[in-house]
Amino acid sequence: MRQYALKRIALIIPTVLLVSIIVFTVMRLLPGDPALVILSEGDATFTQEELADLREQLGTNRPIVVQYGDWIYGLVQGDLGTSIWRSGQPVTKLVGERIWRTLELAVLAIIIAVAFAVPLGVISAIKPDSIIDYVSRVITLVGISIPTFFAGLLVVLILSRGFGWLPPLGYADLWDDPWKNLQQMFLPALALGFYDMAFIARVTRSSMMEIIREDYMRTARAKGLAERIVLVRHGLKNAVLPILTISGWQFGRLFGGTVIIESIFKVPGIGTLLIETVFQRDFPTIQAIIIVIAVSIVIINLLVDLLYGLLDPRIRYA
Amino acid sequence: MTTTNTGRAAPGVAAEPQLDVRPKQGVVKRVGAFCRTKPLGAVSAAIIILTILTAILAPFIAPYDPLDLNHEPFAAPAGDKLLGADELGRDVFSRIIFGARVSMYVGLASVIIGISLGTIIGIISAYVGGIIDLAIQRIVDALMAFPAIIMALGLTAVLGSSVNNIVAALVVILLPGAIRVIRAQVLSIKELDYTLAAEAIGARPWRIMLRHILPNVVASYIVLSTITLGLAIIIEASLTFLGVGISADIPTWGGMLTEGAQKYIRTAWWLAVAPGLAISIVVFAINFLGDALRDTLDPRLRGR
Repeated sequence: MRQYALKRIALIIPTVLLVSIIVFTVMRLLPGDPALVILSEGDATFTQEELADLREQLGTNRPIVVQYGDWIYGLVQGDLGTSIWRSGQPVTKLVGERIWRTLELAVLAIIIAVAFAVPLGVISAIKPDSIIDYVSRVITLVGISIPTFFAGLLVVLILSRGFGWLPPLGYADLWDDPWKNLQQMFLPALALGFYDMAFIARVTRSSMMEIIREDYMRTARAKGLAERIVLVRHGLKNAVLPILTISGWQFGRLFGGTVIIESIFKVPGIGTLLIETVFQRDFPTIQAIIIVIAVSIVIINLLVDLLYGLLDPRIRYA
Repeated sequence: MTTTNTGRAAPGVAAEPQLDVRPKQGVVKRVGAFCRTKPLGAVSAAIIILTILTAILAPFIAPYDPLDLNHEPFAAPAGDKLLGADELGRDVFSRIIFGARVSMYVGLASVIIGISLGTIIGIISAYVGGIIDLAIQRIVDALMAFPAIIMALGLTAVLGSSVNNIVAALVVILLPGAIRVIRAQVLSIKELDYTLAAEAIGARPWRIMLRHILPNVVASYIVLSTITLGLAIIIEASLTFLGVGISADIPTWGGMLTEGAQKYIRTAWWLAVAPGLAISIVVFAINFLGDALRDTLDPRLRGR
């Protein structure tokens, strides 16, 4: 296991390097001089000094390899650069303040998704073509087809019109006011997790369907175990692997989804920060946020892989 | 007779091996069989064709001009205004019809370019192998680390958000997945007897890739294109919804759902529900058709 883990960890180094090169290159695809583009946004007037200052601040007056080297050197030390707007605040601080809210949202969403999806998928699989199976298949197909932003609007519409319930206004942090925070985060997490719930339920159903036909399930029944134990200990335990992998992948997608959900529900997370900075063309900040998200996803995928290896010894020797 | 019964070319015979040994089936017959075995898939295909026709014929179908202020602002859905009017009094039904144009154009263009490029790169990567394959796969790994919408936001921030720039961003997003799926298939195809036979009679690599491998990934190409079309449409709509996509002058489904619709969701619910349903129904149909096509054409892709 240790060898497998070391090999997997070593493999992410080239990936992370390439991710950084991609982000860096994309941000320089901008035709012309970024400093000029930023300053001439709208009808703003500017002086030559301002242009030279901004070039200095962006570092675009230096050779591109030096720029990349500087940026990486900073990244390794946890320095993500400085924002162009926001009076030159360090991006690390901006991102650090907000990323926890985004993570909280993503974690809540995946908990909600798994909590609904696994029972739904299992019941669907053990009673195929029953009413519950039919209902759950329709829900899951609808779930994977509804875009996240429409799911968000529908959640607001149904709960406010149908039940007259609205989350308390004004964002509260988890540490300051946990109860208010959870009330506020529940709706966005529900809307965000809806797609994943549908997706995970589909995977659970199909992997349970396969497992139910396995020989060891018949053996477990034949030796007189209670049906509940057969299903949970012999069935679900084996179905957990694909469910876990999918949930890990979905975590990456959730990061994308939070951008939309945060903007609908006005959660001050990293997604709303990204949108603000895209509007302001604050390239150092955009670059920083994207690399933070991409590296987080690489790390989460690594953790899922390691967990997979831990749970299923066959993987390690493959 | 240039080939033997087993399909292997005899040594020294330089002629072309027979390519397709399946019984030739008419297109009409195959479509008929698909409709019988996959009725829901056929209905979905009809919905998609109808949407494409709507997009092409929008000016002839729409009852009103999508930009004119024809009704009272916030007029509720009724007889001559099927889906009501928006905050300026524009006809929502006509705007939905015109909105199909952007969704369909962006979706189809990005999928055709992205999946085709991905197929070409995937075939080369797998067939040539070695250091080229390794390099391409590492880049694919790295590209996979970016969530689609984040990548799209970054690219449109840099490129600007014209319709064609959004297509370009979507191509970059669709590429890695397509490369990976096609590469995996080609890796197994290139070990099959007919490829080895073609190599044995001295066919050049490009000929093998073009005549022996390409025809065998066509099924995956069709399935991949269908499945990713839904994703492309959703991402375009999401970008426009967030306000960084296509400009508000053009009626788009994502655009109709933006701030305006969010603000009025408690009073004029149809403003958000109409475009939301339009996107959901089209994507639903695409997903259904994708599933049906996959089961029919390429069961190996099941579970992807």
